[in-house]
Amino acid sequence: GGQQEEGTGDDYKLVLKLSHVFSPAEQLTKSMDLVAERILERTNGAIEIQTFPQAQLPAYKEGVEQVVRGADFISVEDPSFIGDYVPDFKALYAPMMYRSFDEYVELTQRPIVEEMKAKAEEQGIKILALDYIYGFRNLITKKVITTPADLNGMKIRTPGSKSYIDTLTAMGANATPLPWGETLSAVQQGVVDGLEGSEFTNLGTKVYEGPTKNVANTRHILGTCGVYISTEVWDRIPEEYRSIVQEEFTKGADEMVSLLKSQHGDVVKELESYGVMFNEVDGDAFRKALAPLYKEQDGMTPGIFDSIFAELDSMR
Amino acid sequence: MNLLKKFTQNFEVVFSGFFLLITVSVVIVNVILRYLFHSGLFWVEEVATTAFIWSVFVGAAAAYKYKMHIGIDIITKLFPEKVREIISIIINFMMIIINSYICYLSTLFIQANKLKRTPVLDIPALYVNLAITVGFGLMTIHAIRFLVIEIRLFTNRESQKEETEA
Amino acid sequence: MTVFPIIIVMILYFSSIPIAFALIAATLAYFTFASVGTPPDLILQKFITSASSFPLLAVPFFIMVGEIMNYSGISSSLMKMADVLTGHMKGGLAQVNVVLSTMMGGISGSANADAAMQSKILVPEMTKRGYGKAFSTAITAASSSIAPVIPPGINLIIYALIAQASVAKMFIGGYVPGILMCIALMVAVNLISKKRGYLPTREKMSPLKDILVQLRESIWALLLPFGIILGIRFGVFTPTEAGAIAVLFCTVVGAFFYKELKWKHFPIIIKNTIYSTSSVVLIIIAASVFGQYMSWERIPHQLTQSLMTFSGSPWLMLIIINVMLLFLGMFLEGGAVLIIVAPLLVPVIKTMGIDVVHFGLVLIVNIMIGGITPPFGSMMFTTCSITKVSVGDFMKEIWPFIIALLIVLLIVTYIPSIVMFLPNLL
Ligand code: NA
Ligand code: NA
Repeated sequence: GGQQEEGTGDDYKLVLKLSHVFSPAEQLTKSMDLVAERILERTNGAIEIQTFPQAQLPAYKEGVEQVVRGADFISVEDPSFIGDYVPDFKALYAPMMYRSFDEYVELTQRPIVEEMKAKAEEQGIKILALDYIYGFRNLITKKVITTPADLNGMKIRTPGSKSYIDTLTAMGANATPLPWGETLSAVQQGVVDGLEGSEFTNLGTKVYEGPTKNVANTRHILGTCGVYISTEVWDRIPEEYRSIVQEEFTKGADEMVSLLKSQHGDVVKELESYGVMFNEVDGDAFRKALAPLYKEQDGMTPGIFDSIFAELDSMR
Repeated sequence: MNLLKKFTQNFEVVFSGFFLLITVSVVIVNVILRYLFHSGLFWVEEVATTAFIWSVFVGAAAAYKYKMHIGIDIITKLFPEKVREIISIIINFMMIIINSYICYLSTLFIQANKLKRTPVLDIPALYVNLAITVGFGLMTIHAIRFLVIEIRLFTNRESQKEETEA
Repeated sequence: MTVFPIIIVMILYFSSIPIAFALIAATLAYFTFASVGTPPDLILQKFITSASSFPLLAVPFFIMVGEIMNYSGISSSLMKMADVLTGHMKGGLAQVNVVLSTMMGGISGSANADAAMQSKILVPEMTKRGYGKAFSTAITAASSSIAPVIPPGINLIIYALIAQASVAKMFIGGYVPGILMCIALMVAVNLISKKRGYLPTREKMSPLKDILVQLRESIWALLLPFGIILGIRFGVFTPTEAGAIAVLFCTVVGAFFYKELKWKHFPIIIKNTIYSTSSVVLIIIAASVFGQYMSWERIPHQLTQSLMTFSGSPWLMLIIINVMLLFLGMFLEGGAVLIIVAPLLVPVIKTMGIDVVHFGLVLIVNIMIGGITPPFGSMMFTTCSITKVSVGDFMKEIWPFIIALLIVLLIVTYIPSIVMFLPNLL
């Protein structure tokens, strides 16, 4: 790396580039800008985090790759991408694991996840946060869905990622990966019968204006972002600044989760006023259908799923 | 030797064309399946784009071989022929540096992150990234060939001139 | 702010190194020598991610369609149809030239492909019938700028992706500017032909009977643009998939209905498609690789800030943007300009309350005019190099058409209600 000068004291300066895929209007973008601003202020300009929304810089797997390769870079991504390096993360983000945001937040603070973070550090990934939560993804369809059988033969749009496709397929749907840019017209024109996404997406992108008026509260995927920095870069930062950076990213996540909780009720009400109907689903039937995805994969810690379920049961 | 030459002459176009046809076919088949059976193939997008990447990088080498890449010669045309020939030699030399450097970087790129996998098919990213190595490797070879030919032409002409002057 | 990559690009560019390699070399130099805090080999991420975009596949598909059309009788069938409709007008063949580009625009989106094809087929025909060679070349170049504006078009898709605008809205939005360009050029042709006495190919308008007979013969060729639009509209396929379906359609029509397409044509079709696709897509990749340097240096960010000083006056802002784009369009390939400029400008115009779809149409019309403007326009190079007309002679003939198209640009820019009427229906 180049833009930093080694040493402590007043002349220390590090420029980090923070990249994510969210648009300027979304809460995650605002949160990241705020965190960057606070860190700049509290370190008296020593740690400058430049934020780049909308994948202007490498994002998704390429963002994590920058971190792994030791770039002066902060990647803010879905934690399932860490699964390429520490397979246990794939288990943590298996579908329908969590029934509330609190369950997940609490789990990330327990030793089981702390151990996973330590494994990530061995791969060069320092995890600064895992809980920039932006909502559960639910099914948004033309007809009411309560069981996996209801999804039979329905084309549901997913992002072009294997985990989403596998999830929707296991749930009983015909997973149809489409770029987001083509999704709304595909729903309008009947190329697909529905999509999946959070209530914030539903409202923000006006999905409710189309023919898909039913939302089944499957909570099948937890939408969350983690914050990652290279361990190499992290170790070079003076201790005093490290604690400030860590504190501010933790604080930013806490604030985003409380904001999310307070806003979600209003968003649901607003959607209902536009004629959107919400329904609960037969969770056990879906979890049964998803059982094949709770199977251990290569490289996972033996019994990882049982351990996670045991932790979650202890909270319920 | 001749047979080998003939094969390498058409290899890039055949290879690139093969991948282009894969791209076109999987997209067509996907539309037909979705229309007839209401169910598309989830892997089409990644297969189509991966085949396309191979087609483009190897195709770029084919296009380079026949000097099909667009450049602006409006300024260089103003110079006398001898200067133009020298510029052309310098450019070929730079093309060798650029292409071989990319080829070298691609080997680092592939080695450094063996754990990365593609998003849909979940296969090693190597199968995609190797297209860069192959494409720019071939272009390096062509650039070297062009350089040798041009230097030979240039020096031949110079010595001819000297002979006629003498 | 590090600007040496921009200087490197300029130097390499004018030393006649291929454009794509100039952009790549400058970016590599930046990521290798400028202490940017990331390993240089990671720039190769951008080579892969920029090329692995599904919508980008529209490029090879529509280039292939253009190639197949030339061997399948579809191009000539469309030309006959255009002749029946416009042959009675002053400068009949020149009018055919304009209308044919507009109709072809409904099928393919490449101005350079259109310009190349018509330079080969139409210009010799025109000179045979007494039109000036430079004039014929100029109208061929000018009208080729229509093809990318009429949907479907790669530029319309690329812009929609960058601006996160609806592809469907961009597509339907392209019709009005495209048709206005067609009308403007036809009026210009009419005025020039009157002055020079370029004669119609026939005395009167074709009788309805002849039109219907030709319509029956051309029906398969005409089905293609309609089929594409309807197919997208009714959800049979996405705009990208439409390209692949068009390949299939042209092949079937050429082989079984016009019976002109033969097996022996396939190697040449594939070969030409690969050459055009690879060189065009490599420029697109190189432009986005270069864009990575610009993002890394926060140049869009800084440019946005400085353009913001004009944000009080959208009028003035649009004029500045118009002039800047015309200039860039003269130097760079249209798609490359779009990729470099759109991400910089879209955030600015959004904050000013300008509609992204409207702005996209302004942008594309603007860049296409740049493409026919001397001394560097890319379609000018394409047509002149095929017809062997010198750039000097071309300049004397192109200016009336540039003026006609600039009038359209002004209308499209400053009377948004005209162009936004159709997209707002969606
Ligand atoms: Na034309
Ligand atoms: Na078009």
